[in-house]
Amino acid sequence: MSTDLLAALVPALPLAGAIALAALRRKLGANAAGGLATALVAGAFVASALLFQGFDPAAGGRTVKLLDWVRVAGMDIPLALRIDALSLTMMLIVTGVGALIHLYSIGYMHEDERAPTFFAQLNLFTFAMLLLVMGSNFLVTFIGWEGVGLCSYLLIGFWYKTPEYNYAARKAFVMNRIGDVGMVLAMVLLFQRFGTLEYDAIMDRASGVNDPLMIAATLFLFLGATGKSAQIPLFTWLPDAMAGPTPVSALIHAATMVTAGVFLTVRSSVLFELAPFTQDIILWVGTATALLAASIGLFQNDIKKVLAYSTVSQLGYMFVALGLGAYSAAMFHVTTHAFFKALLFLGAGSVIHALGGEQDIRRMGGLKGTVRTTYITFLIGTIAIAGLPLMSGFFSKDLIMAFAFQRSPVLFALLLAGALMTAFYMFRLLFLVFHGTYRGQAHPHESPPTMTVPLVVLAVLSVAGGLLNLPHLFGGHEAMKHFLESAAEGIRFENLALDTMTEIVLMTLTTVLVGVVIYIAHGRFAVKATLEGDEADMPFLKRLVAQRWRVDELYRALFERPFGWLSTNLYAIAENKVVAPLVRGVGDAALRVGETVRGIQTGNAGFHLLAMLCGLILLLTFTLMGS
Amino acid sequence: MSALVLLSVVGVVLLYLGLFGRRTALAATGVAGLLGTIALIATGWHLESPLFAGIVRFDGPARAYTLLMAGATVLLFLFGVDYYARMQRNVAEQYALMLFSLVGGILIVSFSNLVMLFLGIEILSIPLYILAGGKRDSFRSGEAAFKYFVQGSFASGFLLMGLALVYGATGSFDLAAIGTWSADAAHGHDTVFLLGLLLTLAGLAFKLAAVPFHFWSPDVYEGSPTLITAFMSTVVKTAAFAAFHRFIAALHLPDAVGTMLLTMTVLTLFLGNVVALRQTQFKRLMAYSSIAHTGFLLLALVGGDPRSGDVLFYYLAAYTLATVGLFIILTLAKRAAQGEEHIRIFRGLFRERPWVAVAALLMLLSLAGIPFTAGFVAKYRVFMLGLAGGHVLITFFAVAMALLGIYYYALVVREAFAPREQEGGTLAVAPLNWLVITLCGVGVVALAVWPVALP
Repeated sequence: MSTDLLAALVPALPLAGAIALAALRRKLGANAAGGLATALVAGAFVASALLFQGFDPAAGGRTVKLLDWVRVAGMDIPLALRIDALSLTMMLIVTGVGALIHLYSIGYMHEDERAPTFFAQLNLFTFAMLLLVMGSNFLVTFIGWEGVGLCSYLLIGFWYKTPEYNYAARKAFVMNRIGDVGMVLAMVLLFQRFGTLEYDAIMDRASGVNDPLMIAATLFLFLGATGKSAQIPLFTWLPDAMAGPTPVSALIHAATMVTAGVFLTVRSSVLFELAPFTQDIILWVGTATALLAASIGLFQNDIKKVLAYSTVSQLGYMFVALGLGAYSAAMFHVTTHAFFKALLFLGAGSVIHALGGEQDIRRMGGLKGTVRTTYITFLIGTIAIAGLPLMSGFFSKDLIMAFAFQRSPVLFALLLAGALMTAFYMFRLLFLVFHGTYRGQAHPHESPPTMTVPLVVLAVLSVAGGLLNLPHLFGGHEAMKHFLESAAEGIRFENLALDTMTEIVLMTLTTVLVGVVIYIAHGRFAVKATLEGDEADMPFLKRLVAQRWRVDELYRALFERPFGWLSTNLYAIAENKVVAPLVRGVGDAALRVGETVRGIQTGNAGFHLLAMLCGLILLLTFTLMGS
Repeated sequence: MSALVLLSVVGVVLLYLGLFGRRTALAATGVAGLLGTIALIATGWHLESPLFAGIVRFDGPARAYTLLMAGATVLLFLFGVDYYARMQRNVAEQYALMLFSLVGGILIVSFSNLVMLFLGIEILSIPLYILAGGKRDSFRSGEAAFKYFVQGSFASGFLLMGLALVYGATGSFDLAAIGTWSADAAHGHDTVFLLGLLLTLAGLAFKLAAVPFHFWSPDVYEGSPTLITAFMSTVVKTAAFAAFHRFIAALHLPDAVGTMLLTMTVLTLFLGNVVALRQTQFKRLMAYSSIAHTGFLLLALVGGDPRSGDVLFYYLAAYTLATVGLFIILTLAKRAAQGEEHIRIFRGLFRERPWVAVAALLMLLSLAGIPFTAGFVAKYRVFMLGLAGGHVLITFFAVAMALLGIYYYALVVREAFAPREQEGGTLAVAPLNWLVITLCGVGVVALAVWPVALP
């Protein structure tokens, strides 16, 4: 099969699935719908794998033009896909992890009567995400960008009968829209400057440009990235997004969509390299987000919320890497994070499923005997995210931290603190859920194989994912970095210039401290289960953290309330008193005129002839007089 | 020429088929003949020879309009299979007359001699007078036929008078010769010529249903059988506009003609849109909507811009697609509602036949000119032409009228998507009808992303 056809097939399969499932949603059963959706995404994965296999990094990327799309007055934007190392990496993650999560959803959603709709939306999401990563220009990416936002909104509010879930969905949507504005503005600026939106053309023309416009464009792009990737200040939607079914949290809000911001930054890395100011902003926003979210994770009691804050925090690490210009490190972390965070979410889903919907870790405990596969795989995921040696998270996170040390030891220390908090909250979660004694009333049972098989596969990937980019220190070749370097055309890859000794010392330091933290967590949560009491009894600082630094309340006071007030008053005064009567008046007047003029149409043929004649005479008189 | 001969022969064959009672073969034969015509036109695309001693010229626009009209007739014939299924007598005549009328249409989109224009218009119209009265047991249908005939004869009088005056002034019936004559600055203020032009245009404006020559259209649209109404508002309108444009584009128009066209444009836009606001009978609503569209189409012509031919064609194609589909849906809904034509018969359509309702929605949005439909692109191009021609005020007026127009289309949309209060007959959609509706519904969206230009 030709590469063009394969490339078109990758997004086409999930799109076909979405359309078919939407059309047949009343006729298909949950399992049939799930099977079809899974098969199509798996098909897209196979197509991606074939493309990957046939891809020659030395030859560079290629553009597959599907059709002319926008072609007016000097603006030529084709609907085209770009196949290069970067998009292939993302395609494999999206379709691979996506297929596993689809498979898992068959078990997870089998009792839901709207399961076919769920799978239609999940397929639609996969399509949009593929469009996002495969687009050869900003506009195609933007369609995907909006598409994933829409699907995210739909799926967060999937159980729409619960009002809070709808609120969460709306919140995610609105916050994403704020980011989208940034993306649109960036596109406008770039188009105005370069006259095109094609990535390769822009990156070609941009190199060497020194222009304040670059700072503006990259800042706007970054604003877009903060929306999708839940960075400060637009991060509060992600924890609320956990209202959606757990596979959604795993696919959209951990493995794929939230990494879109990272992807976009890597895609436009040439521009960011031209704007060191923006890079610094990214670096510090990433650091702040990593720490803030990790600290909030320490005291959360909802199993999915802990994982959500952990995602925000890990995304912070990725942005730190981007801010440091270590693009391959960021992509490496995107990849490993997709593995272990999807695993953790699916594991959490399995636990929730086992306990009949319970999400509060205070009413869990001692589950390791009853949900054995879930426990072992969750344990592996926890170790991977905590960064214990030789796991995937160890390599990817340590790479970022090594880059950070190269920039400044202070940055390294901050990130180390974040890593320690990560280890602490993750092991707290693990111990409170699986160790000790059971504190709830449900009857736990292990999940069906459709759910455990993805867990096992992801667990293997979480362990082995590090091999993708094994550093020289461990006898590897940094394979992923070299692969990504072929992606283009200007993406610059900073080399790590630390000597071996420093690297070993840093790794050892991190590992030992993480070990200590795990030991403390073991003492507090496994030996005896120390549960968080009432927030009112906490000391001030701890309460502040447990209440998520009160960011939501701050936003509510700063934006929601003033806008709400404005909206209410504008409605009451401007709309009801001024605009509405005016509009209604115009409409009524038009209707009255219509009623009057209608009178001419009597239906009497003789009158009509007369009227025609009079009309002609008047017309002739008017015309001839006028000339 | 072979296309004209083929169509006429097929028409005669249809009459014989009717004589021998082969009812089932009628639509198929007609469609085959039309497809043959389309093939002939499409394959003979490069030919541009004058025919019949130079009174007909199959140039690019003529071919394009022939294709459009033949295509629309195909759609209507396909619809006819179901529509005429329950009619006992004279079905063959209906098909044959439509073909004959189409021949007249083809003649007036390709005329290059004013005699041919007149003959073409009569060949187009006379079958229509009969077709309007096609329901022989219906009083309304007979009334429509009579009114159409009387007023049509009147308009033919204007036309003949005008043509005679033009001949008197220029000494020729040949379009090109008249064009050369009129380009001469010395003839710019020739009153006989001017009067002849104005009368000719008035006669043609009758076919376009432009105000003040529109009085026939609501009554005739309402009274005629729905299929014929659809034929009149698509094929006939297309032919009339193409002929109108062919006529004025070939001549150097005196300013006074421009004034008359602008006056008619404004009046038509105003009356069509404003009176449509208060219509509740769907066919009458479509009649006024048709008048309103005449206004927009006239606006595309008044500037005399070289691009106006493209815009006119595109607009007519978009309008034809939406109108054919809507009239089919009307027929089905009317049948389910025991012959009622009030727009409330569409109520509950979305619940019962979601796809039909969505197709209707697309077509109505296209007629209203909502973005992402062909109707929007068409109106947009008309407005751009209006602005380019310097008619800023009139363009703004047209925009305002277009906004007003959204109201009455939205009324129908509201009915289609509102739940029905009481149980009623369910819409039966025959597969062929479903196909045509789908074609039209998808077509108005597809056309929006595929801008057509005349060859």
